[in-house]
Amino acid sequence: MSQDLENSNPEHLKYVPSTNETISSDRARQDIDVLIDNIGKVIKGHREQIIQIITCLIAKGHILLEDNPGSGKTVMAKTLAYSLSGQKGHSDFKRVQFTPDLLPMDLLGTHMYDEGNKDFIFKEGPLFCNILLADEINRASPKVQSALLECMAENQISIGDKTYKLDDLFFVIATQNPIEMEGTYPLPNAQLDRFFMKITFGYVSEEVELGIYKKQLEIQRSQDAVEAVLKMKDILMLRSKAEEVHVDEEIIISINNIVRKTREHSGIILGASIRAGIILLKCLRAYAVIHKRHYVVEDDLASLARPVLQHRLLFKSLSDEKNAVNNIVKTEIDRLSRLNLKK
Amino acid sequence: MKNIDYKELTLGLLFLILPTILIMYPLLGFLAEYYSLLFVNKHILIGVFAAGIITAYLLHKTKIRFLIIFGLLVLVINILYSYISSTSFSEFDAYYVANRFKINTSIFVFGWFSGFAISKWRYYLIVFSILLTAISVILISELEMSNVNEMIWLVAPTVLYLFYVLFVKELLKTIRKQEKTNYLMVVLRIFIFSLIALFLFWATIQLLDSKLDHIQNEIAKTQGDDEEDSGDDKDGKEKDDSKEDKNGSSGAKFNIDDYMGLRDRLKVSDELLFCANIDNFINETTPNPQYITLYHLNQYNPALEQFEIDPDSIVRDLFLPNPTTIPQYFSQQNDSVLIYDKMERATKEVKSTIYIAGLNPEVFVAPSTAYACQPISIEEEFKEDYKFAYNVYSEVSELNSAYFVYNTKNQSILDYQESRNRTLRKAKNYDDEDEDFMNYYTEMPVGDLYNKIDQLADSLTKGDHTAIDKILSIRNYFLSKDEDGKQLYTYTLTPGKPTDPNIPNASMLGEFLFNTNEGYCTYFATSSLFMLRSLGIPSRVAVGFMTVDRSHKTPGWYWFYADQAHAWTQVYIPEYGWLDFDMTVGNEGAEGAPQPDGTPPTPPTKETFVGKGVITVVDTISRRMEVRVDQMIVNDNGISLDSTNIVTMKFDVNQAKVFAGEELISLQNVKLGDTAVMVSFDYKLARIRKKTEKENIENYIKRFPDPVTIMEVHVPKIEEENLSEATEEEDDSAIKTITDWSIYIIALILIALFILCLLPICYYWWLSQKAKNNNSIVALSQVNYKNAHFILNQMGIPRGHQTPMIYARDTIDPKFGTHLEAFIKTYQKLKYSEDELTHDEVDLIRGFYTDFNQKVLSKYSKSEQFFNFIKPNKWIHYMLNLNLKK
Repeated sequence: MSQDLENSNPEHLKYVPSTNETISSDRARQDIDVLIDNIGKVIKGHREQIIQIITCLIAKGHILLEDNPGSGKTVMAKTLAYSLSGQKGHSDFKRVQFTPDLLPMDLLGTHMYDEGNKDFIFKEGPLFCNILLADEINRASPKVQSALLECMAENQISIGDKTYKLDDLFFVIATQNPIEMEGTYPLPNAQLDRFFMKITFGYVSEEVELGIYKKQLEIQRSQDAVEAVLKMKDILMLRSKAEEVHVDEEIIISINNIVRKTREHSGIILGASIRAGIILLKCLRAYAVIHKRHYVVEDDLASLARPVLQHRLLFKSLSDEKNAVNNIVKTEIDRLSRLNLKK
Repeated sequence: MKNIDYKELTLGLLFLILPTILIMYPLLGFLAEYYSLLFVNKHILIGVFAAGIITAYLLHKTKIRFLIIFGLLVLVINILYSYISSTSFSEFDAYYVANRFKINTSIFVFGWFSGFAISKWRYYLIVFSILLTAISVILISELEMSNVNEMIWLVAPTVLYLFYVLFVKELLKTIRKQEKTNYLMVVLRIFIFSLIALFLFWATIQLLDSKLDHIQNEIAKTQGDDEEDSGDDKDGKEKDDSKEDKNGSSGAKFNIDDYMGLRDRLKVSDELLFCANIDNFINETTPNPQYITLYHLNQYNPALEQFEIDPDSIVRDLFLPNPTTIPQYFSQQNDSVLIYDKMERATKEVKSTIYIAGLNPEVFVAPSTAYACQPISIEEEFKEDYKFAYNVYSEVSELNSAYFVYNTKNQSILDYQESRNRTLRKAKNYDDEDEDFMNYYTEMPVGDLYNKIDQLADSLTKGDHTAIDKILSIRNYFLSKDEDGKQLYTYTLTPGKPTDPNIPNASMLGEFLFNTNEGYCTYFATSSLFMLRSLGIPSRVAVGFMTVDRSHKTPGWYWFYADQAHAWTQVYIPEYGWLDFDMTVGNEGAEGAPQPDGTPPTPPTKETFVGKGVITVVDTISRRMEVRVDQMIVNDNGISLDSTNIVTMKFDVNQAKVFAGEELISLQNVKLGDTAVMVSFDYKLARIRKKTEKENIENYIKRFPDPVTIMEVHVPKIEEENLSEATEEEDDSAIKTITDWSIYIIALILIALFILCLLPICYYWWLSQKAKNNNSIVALSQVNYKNAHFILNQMGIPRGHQTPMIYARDTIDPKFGTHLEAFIKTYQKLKYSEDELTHDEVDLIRGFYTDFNQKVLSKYSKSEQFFNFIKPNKWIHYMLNLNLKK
């Protein structure tokens, strides 16, 4: 059920400096563009979604992709994984197809008897990786779902009396299918909350789609041979960089306003939690880093508020689902854009 | 399939076309009135207009071949017109039909054009509403609208409409951009806007209300007496009213009080007070003028030497109504005043008509002894000269006459005087008279002076046995001449104070009788009164007006000027009652310049219908009234309706003038619940007579025309308090007439619009000044940021809800080739980070203002720039939605 994929072609390490020293942060940021472009070669027309996924990656979060089959969810995850290269050269990416009969131990690993040592040894499951693609997460039983989500939250695995640390860079890309709900176990709201963002791809524009058909072979080829353009270490570097990003007081006020307004909005039954606000803040910092800034601006808030908050809220009606968050964010952006400069 | 935007179509129809039709409704009505298009119904007019505007709008919006249809329409109309003109109607009908067709067609074409223009040109509605406002202003001045309310109802909707159009145009524009429209929201917004507008409108009216009343009066007044300096007139009237105001500063004004006592001097004026037609003739040909009585003075104050009206008089024989409180054409009558006249011999009923000019109309003047008063209308052409008129019915003795002292050559008068004296000599003596009555009218003050008068009277009347002989003796004494052939007594208005310094507080009366022999009428009257009373002849002093018959052209007509105010003696003769005996000697100085007599006013048209009752309905638009009539006079027959058969009658007051007291007011000021008197001179009513005496009143009334055409409406006087308050308020205000007011309002609106248009330009200039003078990089960035937003907003590319960055990157920079995105980046760095700017960034900010403005404005022509800049609505949008906040 699990599938290991190796990707350790040394040729892909062309951006690693020869000194083996930590790369400069400016350099790392430059590389993010390369990373985005690299993924963009395979995933056409979804630049914003690519950036959002990388934002989650840098914000130490996890992401849930929800879309119809055939919209490129899996390819996206794979391409991201292949674009990053590990230090030791072993595979950082694992993919698990979730099915109803999947057991937690299939995911976490299990103790096995070692004939040689006459002892039980721990056989690591697919979770011990850097990037995990949890395909069709809503098809697995709640038991498996919660096991995964615990790991996502704690970044460690507890089996029996033993605790195993996961890698510092542990990033889950979960996908789920909005249609075909039969035989699924939809994620409860509390678990959805663990995902930093839930994004959908949607259909691309006519021209882009046309281009995809035209250059199908070419895309196929680049999909098969994705270059690793960034090292895991660079991502860790960016993460530490993100923590240094300056967030202006007004932006924090706006985050607070947005979160509070979701609770007061007449069309929203369940508003955003404090955790949601914290996650939004983390994402903003990561987003700023991606855009080569060390301060957050209103545009960051405008592009991130909806993907971060939307899946945490319960709406009264479809029209509220469509407009409520947008309207709240709109007023806040208006407020920010009309603020005077501090003298 | 044509691409029709049904949403826009519906919204436009509902919120633009419908209000436009509504706004045209009153205007078309007034236009019809102005051009007296009597044969065109305004409902039809508005229908035609609506048809035109809706068809044109729909046709243009649904993109059906518009011009071709219009061409066809013109063709059809022309053919129809030529057909109508050529068809053999009778001459009048052809003219009538063709004209009506022409009017309807032009209205239709106007509607058509409006519908087309609303659909095609964005700013047509604004032009249209300004045009409407202009038309309404012209209408106001042309129609000489006397009513402020009416005016407001004409102007206010058009002004409101202007703002409404400005508002709705913007609203519809934003709606058109949205993909999904919340119609409820739109309706709600317009509703709230209308509410606010209506509230403002109402508040303004409330605020102006107190002023309005006054303006109303001003108008009524200016219309009433065109060139009369009404101010002075009014002053004079007030002086007359105030009894306290003795002949003070203003000097020559008439004051009847002066004739009630003995003064050292008397001021007189020559103001025309009233004129009267007294229907009293000797032998049916020679006019027999009667003195006009105001009061009888029964009480004498010896200390002040002044007569007073005795409030406790034992006889109440003076009829003193207030004519202004009597409903028009209704009589007030009091027969009890005739106790000393009615039963006597040789009396007759005399009808007089009094036309009041300068006198206070509340003061009742009449030949004695009056017992009934009936206010009447004044013929239109005399309304300027006379403010009130009434008929008076008096019991007049045939022996009474103003011709007592005057020497005349008219033989018939001499004969009359002689025969009168003969008759009076045969009168009974006073033995049978009531003792109280005799005591009351022969009472004398006690004192040396009065004893002397008694002696004088006795000596004068030695040998006379009858009252009339004694009276004649006294008269002859006053008229007698001294040894030098000079008049013993002379008439003067300035008798002066007693000259003898030894006697302080010397009596003016004694001075007159025994020293100077100079005085005016009151002196003669007082002296003769006491002489008569000392002889036991009951007598009293009357004040009023001396009647002078100056002209033979208009027998029976007499004019009364202020200098004709007079005091004289009345003597009671048994069987004949009170007779006037004027002892005053002729005023030789004054007689030389008699006042000219005017043209007598023509009697008003015979009233055919007078109805009095409570007003229940006043319809100011169709000018109808409904009154619950309880009293009627139809062709001189009084009909009183009791509670069982009170009728509510409908009246057509289209041609009626409305009076409150003697003041002309407008129909709008008529209050429901007031008692009104409706007067009609309609000759049609004269033909409607009771078939039989016993005909049911209800049936009789049913035969009246419905509604009855009314010429005059009289309502109670508007309370003085309100009037005077309003006068005080208005005194300082320079705004006198309604035209001034409307010009004032319109000027204000125009100035406000002008300032509104000027504001964006001022703002732009202010920003450029700040950009020039600011050295601080923060402030400069601020100005640049504002400026960019402002200019782009004025040029019609507002940011909306985009973030500034996306707006700059996606919309502005590609369009104008500016560096707005780079600037916004730097600006955001300043805003949200604590980093220092690099040199490049500082340079960018410094150079940004000029560069940006140049690049953006170069895309527009000068005129486009100008018209974009003066759009106040955009600027308001900018100030509300895009401007920075602290």
